[in-house]
Amino acid sequence: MNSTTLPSWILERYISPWVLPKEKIIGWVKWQPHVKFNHLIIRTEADVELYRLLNVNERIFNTHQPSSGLFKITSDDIQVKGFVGFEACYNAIPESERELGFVIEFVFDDQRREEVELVTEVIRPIISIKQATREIASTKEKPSPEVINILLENVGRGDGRDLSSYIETVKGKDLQIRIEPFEEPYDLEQRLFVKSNKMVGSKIIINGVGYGMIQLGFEYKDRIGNHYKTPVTEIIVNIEEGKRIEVPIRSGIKGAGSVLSLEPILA
Amino acid sequence: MNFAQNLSGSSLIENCIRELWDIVKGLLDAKILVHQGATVYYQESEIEYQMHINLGPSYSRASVIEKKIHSYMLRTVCIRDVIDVWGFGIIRNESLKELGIIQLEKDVATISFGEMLRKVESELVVLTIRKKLPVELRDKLITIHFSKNARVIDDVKETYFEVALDYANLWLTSFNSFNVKNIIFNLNLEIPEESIEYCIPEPLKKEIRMAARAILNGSRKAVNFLNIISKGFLTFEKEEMVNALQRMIHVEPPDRVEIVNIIPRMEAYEIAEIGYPITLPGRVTTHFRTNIDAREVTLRGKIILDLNIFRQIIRDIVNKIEGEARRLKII
Repeated sequence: MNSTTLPSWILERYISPWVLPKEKIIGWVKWQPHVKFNHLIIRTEADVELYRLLNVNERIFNTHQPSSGLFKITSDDIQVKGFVGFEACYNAIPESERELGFVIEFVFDDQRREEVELVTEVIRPIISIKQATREIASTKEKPSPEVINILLENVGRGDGRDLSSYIETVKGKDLQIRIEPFEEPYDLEQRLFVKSNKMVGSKIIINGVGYGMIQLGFEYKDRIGNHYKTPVTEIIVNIEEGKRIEVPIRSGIKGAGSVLSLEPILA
Repeated sequence: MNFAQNLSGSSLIENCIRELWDIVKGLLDAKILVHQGATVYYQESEIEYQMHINLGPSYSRASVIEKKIHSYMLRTVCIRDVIDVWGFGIIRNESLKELGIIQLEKDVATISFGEMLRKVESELVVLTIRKKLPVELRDKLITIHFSKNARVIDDVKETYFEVALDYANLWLTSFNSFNVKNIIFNLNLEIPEESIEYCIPEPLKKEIRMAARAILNGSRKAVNFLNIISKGFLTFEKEEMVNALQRMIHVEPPDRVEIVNIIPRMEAYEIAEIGYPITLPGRVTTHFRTNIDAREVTLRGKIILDLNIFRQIIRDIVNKIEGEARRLKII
């Protein structure tokens, strides 16, 4: 993380250790108040919005764009010597978890420069399809296709929730394929205790006869409501019997599972 | 002190304490304000000002102080949005309320400094005014962040929080002391039903499945068994469980973060397939409180949950349920 060697007059540096995309990030640096410098520069990366500076005169915001990723603060604009802080958020949804850096650069009258680096981690749920049924087949010998079993895996450190399946593309000109929600009671062998005995799931409805392919994926959210999609999986559709076919989708998440789900709420 | 200059930094702050500022300015001009402190009560969004006013010996007041205090202050001064006002003299301990020097009607406080000079014999007066603090102003002064997504490392789940104060020039140079109290975090630990199942040994799960199916055939023994399970899990809400749950929660820094209370709650569930109602441990709500002194400017902390202790708590309940069912020869 914060790997650079600190100047000896820096008393403390801190940044939120990890955040979800679009979650508030707080960071600060404290230094010995007697240290005299000309100005300091706060630098960060693209897609970061620095929307509040702590202990800095408000007029700084009138002369800078919050999304510019760069703030120049003269020594006189620091309200009380020895401390500067900021609030920011990372506005993009990254493809993978990543480090996010902020640099506070102190520029002295003799043009000497000293940097303090602050690094947080942008975490997210990363759910992918680990295993999936490859084919939906309805033949004369076996007209009812089997349930589509999909094993999902969360390799991210963010909790994933509100999982729902969707069809990205359908290929097969004689087939009409869509997803519908369904409810059925739980099976005791599957689960012992449930909030409601109605298991809400999805099923694929297929009408027509023919050969085709669907791309199936899942949408989900993190704890602050950011939306994500899994990569899609391709499923071959081979329908020889021409009636309405319903194929339930069963999915389970592996990884990042926890015995306790922790949902902190500020009172 | 550089109060007026500092106030210009934020019109919101200026508007909130303008009436108080008039008083403070008058007392400062008269050189009789020897100490002023402020405490923000975060949860309540209130601010408490405390002023120490040096009246000096009563015989010298008319000639020295009255000339210095602006004439309007010698009449009655009104302050709005007040929750409470109180004050006393040191060392004679005169109550300013009882002497009629301060009064509170609805949310308007009136203070008569003229009466104070005439009636209080003590040389020093401590005057405290508790006022509403608009939430927007509170949030301008104090920024708080509580991690929205806890992190799991092995059998430990941890989350963090940060508190930072802004407008340091206002509170650090204008007040002799400035504190923020009652910053309260509310942490909900949701207990998914799978985590309860995880702590039930396989043979007992089998018994529960058998009982569930037997209920459909009208088995009284099965109903009794499921009642024992429900009753057993209800102990999760009992007082002694709070102590056990407290062992699961660690806070950092321990001397700065206080666990105010832990409230275990049950939730209604059903037994799968048959829909028979059962209550299970559902969530644990914990309130944490922290305070911050202006000189610190920032505070950061962690809340750490030991999941092994939680599992052990549930296993202990399950063991008792199993023991009770065996004692009654139900399983």
